[in-house]
Amino acid sequence: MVPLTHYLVLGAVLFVLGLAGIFLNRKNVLILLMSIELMLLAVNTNFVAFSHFLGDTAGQVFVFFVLTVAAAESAIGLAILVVLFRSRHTIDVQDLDRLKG
Amino acid sequence: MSAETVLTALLPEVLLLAGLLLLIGLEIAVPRHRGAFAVSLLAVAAAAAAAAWLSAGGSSAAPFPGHYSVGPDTFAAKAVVLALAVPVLLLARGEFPGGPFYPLLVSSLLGVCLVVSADSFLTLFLGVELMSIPVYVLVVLAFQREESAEAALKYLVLSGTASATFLLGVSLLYGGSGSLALSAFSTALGSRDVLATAGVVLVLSAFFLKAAVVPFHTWAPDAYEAASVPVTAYMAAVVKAGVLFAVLRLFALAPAERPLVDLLALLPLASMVWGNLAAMRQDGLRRLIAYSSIAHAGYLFYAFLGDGPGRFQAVTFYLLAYGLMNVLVLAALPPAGDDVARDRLERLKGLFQRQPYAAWMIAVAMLSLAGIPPFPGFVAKFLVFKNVVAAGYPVYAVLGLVGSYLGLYFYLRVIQYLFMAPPPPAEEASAAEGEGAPSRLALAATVLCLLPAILIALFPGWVIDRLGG
Amino acid sequence: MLDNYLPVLVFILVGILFGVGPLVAGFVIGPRRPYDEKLSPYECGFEPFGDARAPFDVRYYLVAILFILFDLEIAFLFPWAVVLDQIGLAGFLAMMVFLAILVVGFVYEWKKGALEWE
Repeated sequence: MVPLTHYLVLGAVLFVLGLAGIFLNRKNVLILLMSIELMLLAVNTNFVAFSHFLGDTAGQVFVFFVLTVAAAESAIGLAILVVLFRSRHTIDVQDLDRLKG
Repeated sequence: MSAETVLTALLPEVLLLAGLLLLIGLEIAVPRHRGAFAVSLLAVAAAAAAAAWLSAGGSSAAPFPGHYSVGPDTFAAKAVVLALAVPVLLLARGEFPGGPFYPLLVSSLLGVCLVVSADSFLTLFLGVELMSIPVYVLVVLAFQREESAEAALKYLVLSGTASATFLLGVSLLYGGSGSLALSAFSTALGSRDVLATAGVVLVLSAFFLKAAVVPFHTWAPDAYEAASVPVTAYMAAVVKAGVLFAVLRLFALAPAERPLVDLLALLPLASMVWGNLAAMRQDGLRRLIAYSSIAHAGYLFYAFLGDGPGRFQAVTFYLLAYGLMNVLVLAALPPAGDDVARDRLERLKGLFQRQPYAAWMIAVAMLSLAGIPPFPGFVAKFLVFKNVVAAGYPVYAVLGLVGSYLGLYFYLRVIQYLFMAPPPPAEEASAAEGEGAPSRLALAATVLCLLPAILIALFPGWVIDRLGG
Repeated sequence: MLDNYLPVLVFILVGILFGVGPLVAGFVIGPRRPYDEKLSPYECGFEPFGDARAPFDVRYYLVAILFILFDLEIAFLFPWAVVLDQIGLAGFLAMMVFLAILVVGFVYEWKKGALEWE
């Protein structure tokens, strides 16, 4: 039997990998979207683990909704990416410097 | 529970959903139709009226127990948000004759309504996402500008990070309490458990990011600048309100305790100071509004230092006053040949000589945003700081006041531009180039913002009572 | 408890050996006599045309976007189908409303021409 802590550590490691991917990535916008997806899936591991150990299905129901919202978000992200590529002909993060932030 | 009570409780949402489906149906069935504006205006106005009516009637119900409930105060909050969306729609008519703008706006409003009534993390999460996902697309819709896709992408990535952080916090709270009810958050506020505290901090920082509080504010100036004017108005007034209502639902009546109080006071304080300082350096109106909204996010989060019952009133009143004034500025902004030129503060020089009405409107809004009596912004700030003092944090209140009056400089600079002597004729011609009178709908929008603002400036007590709490 | 996992470990090791071993063997004992003709890339004997790293057509992205949106409804349909006989008419109707809204979205994308390849 794998204890709860292991799942939580796995979730935390995946989440931090995703977060690092967002802040360290200088290459490609697609990787940003993948990092967000990774963070959301890390959270899903947490939910499933807690749901299993608490014996409560609400956490697993939440996972379905997180998946759906993640899909909607990456669909919008990809669509914006296509618009961006058409106007700029690049999806390098470094080239996105028109705005000062 | 009968179908009738459920439908009454959900009336604003049902009206919005009906409007949304009708809009999409029109788009499918009738090519190049012109009805989108009328349908969405009707749906939003009807939903706002329904919410106000239900709030006055004092009805409350829980159509989906544990996930979704309504009461007089939630109806009042919905009425405020939906009423703010009406002038935004009037502004949008000129820029978006049809197309995807209207369905996106209505579905985002539906998300705000869901947030306001949320009782569980599930509904809160769905509401926040339904509110913000359409806004990413709304930012892109300013097609004449190349920057908008870039700004939308930044907004999406940071907002997505915020959602993931929120969910991580929720998963920890769920693990600690075993339920998805929002009360898990307020219980965790008082708990000394590491897991619970981590959950609370993660959830809070996610909302700091969504509300653009320093140091999570970088997306806001870009997104506000790159979006077209009605979308900027929508983000500043309605989306910010939605985020703050989500935080209100989370805190419920629970008091903030140390050490969280310090987190809840210091970041907003930094936000006020930095927002006000950075706003001084801006030469575009929309970036100025963005930095001012960062500072205002600080004041709004300050309200959470105060005690429970006063908090709802203070935040709702503040959102109403602040939202009305933001929409008023953007509605009174004279149209120009292209969207970028419209934004330059330089163009406001001597506006009083050319368009006195527009100049007066912008001046009133600036004074109110700066929090000068007797404008509504002053009452709103007063409520917030009064609560902070009453809760026993006089030091934070004084620091906040000092931070807030840093903002006077740039608000007054705009007013100085408006009323200064007319520039030399050559410059005047270039400033007025492509400048038309505001459209009739934009004028209607200014009136719709001004009348309630006068009402809340004259009878703040009456309005506060109506907002419940 | 960990004993149960021993076969898995053995399996993983054997699998790695089986995959990596021949590659290493080829690398170590294979003769290497490169010359220009041998090193040039080729496609079925003729000179290659076009770049091997041609980016995907944007239209594939569009299909991918539409696919992620519509494939997830299955995640909701499965649990619903499993408990259909317990949730009664209300559950059935709720799913029908959900599917109806999805169909509206589908018709919208169809009418907008998102499904046209050209």
